[in-house]
Amino acid sequence: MAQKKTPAKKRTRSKKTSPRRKKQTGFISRSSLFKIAFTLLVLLGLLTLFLDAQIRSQFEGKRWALPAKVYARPLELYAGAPLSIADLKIELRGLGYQFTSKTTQPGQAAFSSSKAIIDTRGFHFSDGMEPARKLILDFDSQGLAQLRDYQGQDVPLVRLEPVLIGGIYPLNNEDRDLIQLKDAPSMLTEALIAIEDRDFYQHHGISPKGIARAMYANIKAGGFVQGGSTLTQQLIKNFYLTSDRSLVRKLLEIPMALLLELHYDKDEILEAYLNEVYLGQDGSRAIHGFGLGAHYFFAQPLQELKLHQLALLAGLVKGPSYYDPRRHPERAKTRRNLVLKVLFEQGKITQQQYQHAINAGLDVVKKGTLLKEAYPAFLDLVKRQLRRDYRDEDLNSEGLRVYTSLDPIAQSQAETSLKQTISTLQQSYGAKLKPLQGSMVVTDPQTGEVLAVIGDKNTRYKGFNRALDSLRPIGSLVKPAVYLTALEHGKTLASIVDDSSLTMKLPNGQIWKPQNFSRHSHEHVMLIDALAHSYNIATVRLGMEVGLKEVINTLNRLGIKRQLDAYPSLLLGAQGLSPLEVATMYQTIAANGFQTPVRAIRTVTDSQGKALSSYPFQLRQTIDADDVYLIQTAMQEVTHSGTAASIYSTLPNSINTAGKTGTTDDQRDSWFAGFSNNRLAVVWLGLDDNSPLPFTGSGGALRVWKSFMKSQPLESFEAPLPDDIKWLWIDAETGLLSAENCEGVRLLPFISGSEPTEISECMTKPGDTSNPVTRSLDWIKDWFQ
Amino acid sequence: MTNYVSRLFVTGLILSVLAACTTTPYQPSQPPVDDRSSPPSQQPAPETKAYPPVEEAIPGQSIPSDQVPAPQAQLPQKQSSAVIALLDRAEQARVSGDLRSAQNNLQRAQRIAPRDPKVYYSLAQTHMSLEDYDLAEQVALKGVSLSSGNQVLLKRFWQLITEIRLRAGDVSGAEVAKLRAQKY
Repeated sequence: MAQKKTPAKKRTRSKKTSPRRKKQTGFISRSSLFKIAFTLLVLLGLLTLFLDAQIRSQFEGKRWALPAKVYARPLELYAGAPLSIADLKIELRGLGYQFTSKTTQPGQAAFSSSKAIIDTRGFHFSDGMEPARKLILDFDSQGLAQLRDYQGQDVPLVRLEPVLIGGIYPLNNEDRDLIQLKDAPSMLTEALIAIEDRDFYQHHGISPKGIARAMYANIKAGGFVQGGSTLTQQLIKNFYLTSDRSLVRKLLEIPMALLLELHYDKDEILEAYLNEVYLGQDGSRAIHGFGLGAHYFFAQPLQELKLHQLALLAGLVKGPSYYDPRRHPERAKTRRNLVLKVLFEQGKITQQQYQHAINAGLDVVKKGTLLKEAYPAFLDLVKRQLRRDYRDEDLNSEGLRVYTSLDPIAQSQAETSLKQTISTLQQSYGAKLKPLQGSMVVTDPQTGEVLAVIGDKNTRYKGFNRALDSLRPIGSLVKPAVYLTALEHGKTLASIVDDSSLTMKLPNGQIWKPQNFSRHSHEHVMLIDALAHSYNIATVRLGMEVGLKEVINTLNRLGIKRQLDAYPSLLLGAQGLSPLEVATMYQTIAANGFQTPVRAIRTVTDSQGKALSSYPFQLRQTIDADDVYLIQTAMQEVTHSGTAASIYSTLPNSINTAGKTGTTDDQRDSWFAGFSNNRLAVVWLGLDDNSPLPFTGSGGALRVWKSFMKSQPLESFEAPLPDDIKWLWIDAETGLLSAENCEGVRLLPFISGSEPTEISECMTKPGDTSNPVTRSLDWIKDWFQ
Repeated sequence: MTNYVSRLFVTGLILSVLAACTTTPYQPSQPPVDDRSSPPSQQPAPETKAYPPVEEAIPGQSIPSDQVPAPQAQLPQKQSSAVIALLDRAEQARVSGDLRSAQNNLQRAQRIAPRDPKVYYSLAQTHMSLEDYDLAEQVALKGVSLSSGNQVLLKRFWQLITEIRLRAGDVSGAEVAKLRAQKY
């Protein structure tokens, strides 16, 4: 190393000392001269030391601040998976698969009407390697019917590689995908060297031949057409120096290039170049390195690119903005073809390859084809959860990998449903609805995982995230909590509640007169119907009877952590909550009383795939199974005969659902929250300036919900029947025990011991002595026979 | 003069050698992150509420829930080969002491079959082995809620809950669970 170093130093010394030596014969004494020379040498030495240290620390240490990569959930493929061919295509498009008639390499898929052949890329998960393999998938009307490998053997389960949905970038917003030289296609490096620095493997950092060649070319052309910088100099420029064209920078560039070449071999320098080079700009995000460049321009991994695509990337280096293939396709093509010509002239490619490549199109995909940065609202949720546990500098520089629960298929369908419904509503109601906004949260209620989040109708907009930050009054969405509290305090679904008009004096002296939406009051209604039809007055009476504190306690047990004020208006949903909080609350009901925190992150690993933290499935039973069963029944009544009955004009009757509509004062907010067995969705529609809407919860948000749920592989909601629950025939008018053969009866569940003891008029007819409970059960038995 | 020159030369040489050889020792950058993988109880826990006390089963006839509002006979779920494969992998991992791997496989199985009580049984066992008794019990209770009508499974779940509570030092709770198990 010392030997290598000497010549560089010699050059420095001779350059600096010789002019001064000439002068010493004049008026500077010899000793002063030596002192000055010595000082200069020391300074130069120090500068060299400094530069050298800088180069080495950058090169050997962390060369780049590596943004954390955020991944969607990997799609699980198995026989019986509720996955259609259309769903699979959404996923594969997000992964940048090429759809071909025959697959020949990883990253390709071929489809027929009920069959797909996919050549997976494989992926290193934190819990093991999923190898690249060729798979045959057969579909039927239910979904994926059979999964086989290419030898025809059944495969139980395969995870596709997860879609990259975003990154967490450092302050300079540089994004890159690191590659190793051995993974870079040889034609890329050939092209790069051919066009930028053909003596790369011969020179020592600077190339006098290259400079001479450039000068000749420039003189010949009568202007600047070619630069003489070597790849090493370009790397130094990008790597360590600012982009200003100052003399100092130029002067530093040369010794630094020499030092770099002194310490590192050509391949190391080339690998650094491949990762450092700037290739374009996506909004605030700077695209660095060919690994990311391949994804950005072609939506494919670098290894899968063809000659004409590699030549385009190599050509871009000279001027990423000037040759931007999206903005200036002609310039880009000319440049690409020049690269190809040089490759051909240097004998790197055959005539046939050359002809084929220059005739190929640019093949650059539209921006946003891949799903990176496509889901800002979900990414926002992930970042907030991450920032509780990690420092910013770790997130944006350590190359962490964050595996999340986002389901790109569900997200895509949620976006379609929200956008289309908003557009239809705008068409129906005209200009005043132009600023209509919406947000949505979708979870799997059984696991608590967040599948999709929308924070703005312009789903790629990285601004105000309504799903997390917009606190809008929830209106009647609060009612299940009120009724659940009442059920916990001894009421039954058949309890008769009073919905007649009510005037209350509030603690501050004000008079409050809650109204029903229809402005009609009802004398006596069964509790289940008061919820199904969302009667306000009955709800306020019930809530005041059990006590506001108790209702707040229930809301807390359902998962609401926010401080809630004990005002009577809470009972009608004056409290503002975000769609995410509402999802948490409804999830506890959907999951049979087990409170499950909403989770967006599954695992975080370091850049090598070692797990740093996992976020396991957590749950706690906070609502008794019997009580939750009753409220689930009442919420199914909402969707079957209540305010959300229109659901079954869209969904098949075979799919049980439960939910609640929500409309706030003067129709400022349109809400719907509801679930099947495997999907829970909360939808909010409204205007940011809080002005009234021309529709209710069922006229707006419910339409989005229905459209979304229809697109999903729904499992019917079937509440497990607790031991203590029995179903009995009840007289719908009086709430008293009745029998199946009486008129106006309903079958309702009761916790054993809470069932009505009085029997209805129908049951007291002369001669009818049988026990109504037995008769109810007889009916059920008959029904099953 | 020669002396000076040679001294200067030597100094320069030393400097350059120094420059070439001095290495800023590279400190591998270790993200100072907490490992949240163990024990899970360090997670931000949901609102701490005591689970409802286990009540004695009230003998009484009950009928299937699925008649109202949309009567439909509940079919027993067929376990898919994917879930069987994951449960097998998890069991092997658990027996060999790789509890994290067991947990990962079971959570994969849970996403595919979130209403399969067997998944919760194995997951509860795994959390018990991880000595996270609180979560183990909650997972087992979730399994109970999904096993209605299946006497054999219910008995196994309450036996498991008995063991979890004993290991957690909750003797009276274990006694209640034991009585419950004996009912099936």
